[in-house]
Amino acid sequence: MTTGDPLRDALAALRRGVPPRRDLWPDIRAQLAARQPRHRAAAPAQFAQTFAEKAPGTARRKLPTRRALWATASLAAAAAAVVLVLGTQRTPAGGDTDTLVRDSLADSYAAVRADIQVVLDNQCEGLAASACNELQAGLQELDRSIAELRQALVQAEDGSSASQWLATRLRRAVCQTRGLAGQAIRIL
Amino acid sequence: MNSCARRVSPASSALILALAAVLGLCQPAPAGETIDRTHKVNKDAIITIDNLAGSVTVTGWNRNEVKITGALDEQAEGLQVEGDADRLAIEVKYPKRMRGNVDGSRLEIQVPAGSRLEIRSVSADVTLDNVEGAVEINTVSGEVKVRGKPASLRAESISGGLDVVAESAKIVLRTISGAIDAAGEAREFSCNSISGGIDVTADKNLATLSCETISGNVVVKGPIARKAEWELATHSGDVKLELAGKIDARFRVSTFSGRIADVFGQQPARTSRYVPGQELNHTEGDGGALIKVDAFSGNVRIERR
Amino acid sequence: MKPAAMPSLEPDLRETDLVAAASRGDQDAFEQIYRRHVDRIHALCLRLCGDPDQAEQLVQAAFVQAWRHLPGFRGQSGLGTWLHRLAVNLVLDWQRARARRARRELTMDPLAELPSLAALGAGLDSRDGDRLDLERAVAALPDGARVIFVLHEVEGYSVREVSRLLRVAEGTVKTQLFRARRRLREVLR
Repeated sequence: MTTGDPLRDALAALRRGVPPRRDLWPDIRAQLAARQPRHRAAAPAQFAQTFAEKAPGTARRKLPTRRALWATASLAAAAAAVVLVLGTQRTPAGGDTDTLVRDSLADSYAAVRADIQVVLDNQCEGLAASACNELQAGLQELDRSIAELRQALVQAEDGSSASQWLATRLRRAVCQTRGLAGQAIRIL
Repeated sequence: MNSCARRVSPASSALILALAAVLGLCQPAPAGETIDRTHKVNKDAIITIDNLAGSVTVTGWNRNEVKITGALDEQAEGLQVEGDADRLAIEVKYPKRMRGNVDGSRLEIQVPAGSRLEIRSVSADVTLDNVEGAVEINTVSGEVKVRGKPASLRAESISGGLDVVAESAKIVLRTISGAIDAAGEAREFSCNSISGGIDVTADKNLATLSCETISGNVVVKGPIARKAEWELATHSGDVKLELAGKIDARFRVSTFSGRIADVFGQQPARTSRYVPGQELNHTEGDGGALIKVDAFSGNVRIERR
Repeated sequence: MKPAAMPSLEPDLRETDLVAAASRGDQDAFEQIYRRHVDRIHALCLRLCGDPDQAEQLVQAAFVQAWRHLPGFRGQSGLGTWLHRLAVNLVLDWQRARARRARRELTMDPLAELPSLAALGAGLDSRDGDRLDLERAVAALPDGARVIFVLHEVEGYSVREVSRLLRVAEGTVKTQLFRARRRLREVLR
């Protein structure tokens, strides 16, 4: 049925779907390979009570709601926990120390991560949804990089320069997480 | 409505209200209306701006006044301006619960060039020009554009892009996934993103440069300043250096499983027989500057422009 | 494919199952989701960006992002709508980033110099007369006008929604639509 208007007719005849020239799934699957979606961590805030401190950048804001206060305290605690752990690390010299470094960094990251996740789960509503999705995606990227680094560290020769380099990278990645926590605090 | 009265002790409120009347404060603009207000401030006042959605355009000028023009959207409850000559807080008020999506309010604000700015938005785009005080910008998804010579600049976004051409003592740019595009002169430059790409044009005054990503690519173009220190790190992004001018630098480049391609004719060495990575340690010219590049699985490419 | 029976009043259970499985990391389930929606998402990306190579990149990026964000999909809209919205935002972000790279704003003037016709025909059935002409003509519009036209006329977004997505005034959207339609009618004649 035509309307007499060539534009309307052409629009009505447009196909809903246009298949791509080739099957894109293999390329997509290759990109997905390292991006496993994570379960929401249900772990309660482990350090919130002990290390709650005022987060930077919140000084001039109005009195936050009680929910936001809790969120801020949790994230600040999580961030502070990372600082505390990182502050006590020494450059690994080899052997037992490497395992110690690896495991304690893994623990601190897991703790920070769980805390951030709990806060995001509680804060993600309404206007902040897209922000939370982005933070979530950022955390997943960090997860992936930390997992790769830990895996490589396990396989590296203890005390080798590769092992030291990897430990430094792992520390930096955990710092990135702290940075992400700080950013989340400032936008909440 | 007297929003100022809530904040101060009863003793000073009378004085404040009198002052407010003189300065024309505490009279919110109704929603959906255009804005046209002017407030006198000191030349180095601290000005904070909060706009959830829409746009915020800030320009420095040579008057000791803040002039606000623009238009509020239908859902905004009003424009609230509070403070005094030293500190002015400008905020577009929205209800706690909004109907559907927000169109956004448009704010165009002229401020004394020497003022300090703190701007916060969720999705409002932020444009800033010709401000010489310290600047801090925080957004979720707004696009940020900064031009001029702020004394210092810190801009953070989640997914909004940061576009900065500025001359400053210290610039810190941070995103989760937004792209960072930066050029200009800064003694200290720090860029950080998880998955956003970083594109920096260095110049002869850039003393310290730090760029870090997880998966975003890092591109740094330009000359290497004398005795500069660049520290570029990524997990899986690629790093590309396009170097201009005379190069006097020590290069310390390491990857865990990525490749290194460089222009100095050096063969990158395998780091160890246990890992597939490469490293390149090379001194060019007098080796005054230090360029450190670390990538886990990303590739590193160094080129001459 | 659904059998040609009476329309079901129940939600598409299979899709709910697929989403749940994919959210837990099941790539085979996600492949099913991909196969169901790729043609639609590809059509959207192709028409918005006007270039088949770029469209394929964007489709891949959209599905990778969908995979990342799927655990956060709450089922408040249909999956197709959610994917569609995700793809629109992705394409717009990509265009903004590209414009930023070239340090210019998205061309909003339909009288500005037109880009050369994209090889859009490569992806389409050459037997379709009007359809092919329209796709080519739309691809030939300047970026800004094309995006507005596709979002409103093809994808069904309201003027208000388009103005919010692109962060331009509704008046601008209406003007661009008027000019785009006028130009397209000239070409199709």
